[in-house]
Amino acid sequence: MAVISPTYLQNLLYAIDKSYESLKKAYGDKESPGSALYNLSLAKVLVRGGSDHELGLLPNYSHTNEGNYVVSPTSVTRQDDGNNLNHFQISFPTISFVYKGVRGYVNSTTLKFNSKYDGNYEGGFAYVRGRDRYARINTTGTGSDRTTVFMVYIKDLQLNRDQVNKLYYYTGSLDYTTSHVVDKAGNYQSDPYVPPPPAPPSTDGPYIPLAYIKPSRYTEGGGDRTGIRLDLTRPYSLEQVHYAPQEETGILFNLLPALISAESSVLNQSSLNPYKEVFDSLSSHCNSRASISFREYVYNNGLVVSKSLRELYSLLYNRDFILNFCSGSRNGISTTGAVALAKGKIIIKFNEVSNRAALPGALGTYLIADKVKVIGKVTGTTDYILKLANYVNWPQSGRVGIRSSFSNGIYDYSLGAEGDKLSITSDSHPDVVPDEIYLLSEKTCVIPDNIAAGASVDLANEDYFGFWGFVDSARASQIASNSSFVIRTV
Amino acid sequence: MSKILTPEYVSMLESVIGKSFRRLIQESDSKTVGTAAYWAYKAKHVIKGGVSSGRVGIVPLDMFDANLVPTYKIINERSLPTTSHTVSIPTLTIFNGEEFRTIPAVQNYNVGKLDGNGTAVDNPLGGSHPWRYSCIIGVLNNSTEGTVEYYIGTIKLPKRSAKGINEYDDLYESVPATYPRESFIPISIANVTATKVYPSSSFHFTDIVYRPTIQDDEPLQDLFPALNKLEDYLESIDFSYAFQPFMEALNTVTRLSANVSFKEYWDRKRLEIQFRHNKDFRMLYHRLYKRELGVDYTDTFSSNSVTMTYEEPAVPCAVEVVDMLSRNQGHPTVSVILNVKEPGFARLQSRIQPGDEFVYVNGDLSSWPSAGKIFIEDDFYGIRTIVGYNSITYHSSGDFTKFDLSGPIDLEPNIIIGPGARVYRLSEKIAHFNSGSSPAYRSVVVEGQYLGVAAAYATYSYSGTVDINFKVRSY
Repeated sequence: MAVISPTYLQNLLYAIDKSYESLKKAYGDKESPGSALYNLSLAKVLVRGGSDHELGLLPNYSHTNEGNYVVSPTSVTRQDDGNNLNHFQISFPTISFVYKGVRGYVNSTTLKFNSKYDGNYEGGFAYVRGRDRYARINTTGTGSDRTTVFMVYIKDLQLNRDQVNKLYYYTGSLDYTTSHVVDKAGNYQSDPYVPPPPAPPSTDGPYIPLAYIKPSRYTEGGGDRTGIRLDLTRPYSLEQVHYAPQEETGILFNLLPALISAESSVLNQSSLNPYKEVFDSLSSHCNSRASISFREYVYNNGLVVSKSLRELYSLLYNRDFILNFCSGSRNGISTTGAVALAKGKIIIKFNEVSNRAALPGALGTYLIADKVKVIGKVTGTTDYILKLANYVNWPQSGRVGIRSSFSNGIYDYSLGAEGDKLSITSDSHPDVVPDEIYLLSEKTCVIPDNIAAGASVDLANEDYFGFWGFVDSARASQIASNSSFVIRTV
Repeated sequence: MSKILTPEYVSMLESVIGKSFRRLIQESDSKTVGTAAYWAYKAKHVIKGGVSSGRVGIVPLDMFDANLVPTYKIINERSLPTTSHTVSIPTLTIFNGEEFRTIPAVQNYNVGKLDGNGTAVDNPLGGSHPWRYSCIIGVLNNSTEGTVEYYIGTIKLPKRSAKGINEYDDLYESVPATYPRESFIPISIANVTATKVYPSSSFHFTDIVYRPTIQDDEPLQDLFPALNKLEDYLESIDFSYAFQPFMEALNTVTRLSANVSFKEYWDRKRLEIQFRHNKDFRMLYHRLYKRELGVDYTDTFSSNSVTMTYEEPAVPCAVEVVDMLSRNQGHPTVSVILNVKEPGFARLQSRIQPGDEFVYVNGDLSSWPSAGKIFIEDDFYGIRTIVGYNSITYHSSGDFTKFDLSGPIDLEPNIIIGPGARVYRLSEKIAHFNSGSSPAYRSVVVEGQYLGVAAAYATYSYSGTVDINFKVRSY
């Protein structure tokens, strides 16, 4: 009665994960540029008018909600210094946008590019330079002519309270990336501090495309003068996410229901049942061949399970894979930062007990009872008030866990009357706007007198998303000094 | 006029709907690396083991090595400041879709310092940012006559950049999904600079087609059915029906505004203005209605210098030639000669270089005319050429057909068409426009099922001046 080997299972899980991840990316959602549902959502906006997205270009709403609906570079100017060196300046108008749900705008600005052409018609070289990166241009002009098309896009807003402090214009392709920092006033900083170049936009978070730039060889005067020309093409009219209200009822009444139908059909077709059958067979296989649950088999063998595979499993079974949250030993206590995608029972399991007499007694913990995404900070206030992505049914006041780059903090909160705004009432507040916050519940378990190696204790009777920390760190250290334990789901 | 009759609005709608559809259907293709169906196939393969017919790739030297991971590391032979661009490759075993082959080790294989456009990587760019190109190093079926032989070869990637050296990070992202896998088995990719070759770790890139067979019955028995079902499901999802209500609604709105169907309206409008349907949208239309929505094979041509679009219809269809001008009584007979692409295509087996007088194509094409024209199309490098041939010979030993060309092939210097390029059989068709008066947009339909048009020109025997103004498109 052979059970699948851990090596085979790891390879199998990897392939299943990749399959699901690819399918998920293809379906996407209205905030995933390039996905099926994003484009369907754009079609709806195009037919209906208004806006549906938390990411994209808006009409210039700095004064009213009206304005220019097509954001395009206003000009490209070329200056020839007489030494085959061309300098380009690409100007953009004031741009309004919504980014991660936060509306903002940046004043008109100008980006600068340098370029060079060596003067040889055949086999010559040319490039466009943005900061310290080069874009090669084929200069032969033959049928095999290929030029790289660069994209200018917005990403990485720096938010300081409600204000957009800086926004980064990037030009990038798969080959190279260059960036220009523009401050809120629209000033181009000629030699700013530039953070490491980002990965291409397809792999690195949300971005807002503004324009494509195609460099090509430029001749005039019958070929006497040669240089480089930049042509702008436009993704921006498609990527803008706000359109004027539809004025033609015929279009609205006929096309909008059809698009809504297409959306729901795509969602309905994304059946996960065949994936469930695979997990069912794995579960049955592990149970019948090795008398162990599939989750335990994965956990016991230390197999790597990606977040997307956990997401798939949680969607199918409302249960996550087994996760470790914290471990302790005489060497100290460390937490993993993991948060389960579905609620489950959380235990402390003692792998070794070196001094049984030191362990029994109460142990207070903060467990994660709920979690909610954060859209951003509320505009126009000096308090630390977060706008939540969903309405939550939490107590009017309590404690939340907020993760910053330095630590896991616990803060007192007060929930707004409408349930979608949360104000931090602690004396201090975090230095970041988190992506997600966690409702904490204080739970105390009792470690029995007869605790032994291999035994475990439930941290609470109910199910939770995870473990945030200990109420009494001295007590936790005392336990760790006298045992080796792990806090995990079952 | 309703917005639904304007090219700007319809273009935007077609674009977003087309992109949405395209993004979905590609996930159902198990032959395309990285799709949901492809990974489902790989999951099945983990359990099933062995090789799968039709798949090509490298296999471990020791097929019974349960460790699974082949260690085909291409060794960087270079060290600064020498300037040879070579790598060394160990003995490889490949599965070519039908059988196993062993490729001897190659020492100092020269990748070359020229990129795909013939530009040397040591061209000056200045500063600390030398020019570089990326290439896929692989096993190439380079057979000409006789037995099938394999060599190490490269495909130079069209994306190029000038970047600092010591950079491996974007190698994988640079690899296009569309290179010709049929006759080229990738083993590594490499960045080539003026001073060094940086090969990737091949394991991450290569499509390993062999896995040791699982030694126990139970996992195979328990897990294979569900994995097989998953692959079948992903391959069979038909996303087009999700868009059918939209297509019907689009038709309704167009009829309400113009009294004709969406296709009819734009068939006519495309003659009057510059407008092309979105390619993905055309694919969707074909999936739903089993016909081509409408594609132009030429721009309007006013002389015998024709700009071909090289577009293919979503399904083989007839060809329509339209005379764009109104004609008076004295107008002579004009004929438009077309080289139409017959349905189906073969794959180029060997490389073609300027001056070659033979072309080798996979498979038995002895049913093709013994003399005529073929159209060779390499999307990867954007090369298209028509060549005439005088005779063909099928070689069963290597399962390829040799075409004796009418003359040396005319390609630009440094241009090489690689194996895997598509080869179409061309037929000559004539659309006659009889003499006499006629209104603008008179059309002649060349009946038949064709995959587009590779070339077109107009001819007449009239001694005076004739205004030529035609367009060739799908019908």
